[in-house]
Amino acid sequence: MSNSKREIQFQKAAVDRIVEALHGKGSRRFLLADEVGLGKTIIAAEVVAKLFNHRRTEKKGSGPFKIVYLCSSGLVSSQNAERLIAPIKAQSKKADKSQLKRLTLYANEAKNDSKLDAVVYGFTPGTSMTIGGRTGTMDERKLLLYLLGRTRGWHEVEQGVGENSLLARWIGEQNGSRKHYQKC
Amino acid sequence: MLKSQFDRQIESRYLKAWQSCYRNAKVELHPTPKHKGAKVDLSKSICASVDEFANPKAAYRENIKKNCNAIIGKLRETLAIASLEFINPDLIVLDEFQNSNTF
Repeated sequence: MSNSKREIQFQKAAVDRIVEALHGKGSRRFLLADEVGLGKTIIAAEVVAKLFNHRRTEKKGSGPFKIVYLCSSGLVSSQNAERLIAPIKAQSKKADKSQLKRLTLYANEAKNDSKLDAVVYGFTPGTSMTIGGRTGTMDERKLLLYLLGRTRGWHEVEQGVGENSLLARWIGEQNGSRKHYQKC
Repeated sequence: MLKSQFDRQIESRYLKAWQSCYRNAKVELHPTPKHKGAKVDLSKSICASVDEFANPKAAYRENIKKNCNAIIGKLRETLAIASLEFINPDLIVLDEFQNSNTF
């Protein structure tokens, strides 16, 4: 038997075992810890496709199949998330066409996403969780300003967006976007 | 503009989940005239930092900048946590977690 055929059999066995574990009544957790190059991402993509099909059969019309993809590296994340959802895209015309959605923006996009068959929300702790110099995307900052306004009052948020303020720096003065927030 | 845009999109359940994260969040700040340099409530730290950032004292400029970033980082963290609690995913995939000390 050729190496490639052996690999396909071994991957198929792994997929079946994982789907059985995740779809059963047990812990619903599975650790796949193969050596580099044995196709962990291929196995994961097949698992995603099978679970998607199970869900589509069992819970028709109950919103999109939602995957949260957590990865330590932004680069690996964007490459692998696309591969994860590829088998679903092949089956469903409504699966999200964008590469990967930011988990932090879920609330902003939930209503639009509800029309889709499947969505991958990516989350990279290195860029999303680290307390440091990273100040996020413009959409994240807009959403946070809105949430702060609803929580602390719009007057306070408008003050915070004034000249030389904390939020003005955060919004990013380089592109003149501060004007956008001055009238919340 | 911001309000009308998001009022249509953000569900009240999400707003409540975020508010809960926000009110319970603590942030570690560097010493400045208004902060002792300890873990403080995120909600309380924002007011003081807004004032401080507007009129920074030269000796504390660097710490004020670091605090500003820490607060913003923490706010983004509240977004991520609220989303994770709210999203109810069908599948969670953890990849390359051996390279991260945050997971």
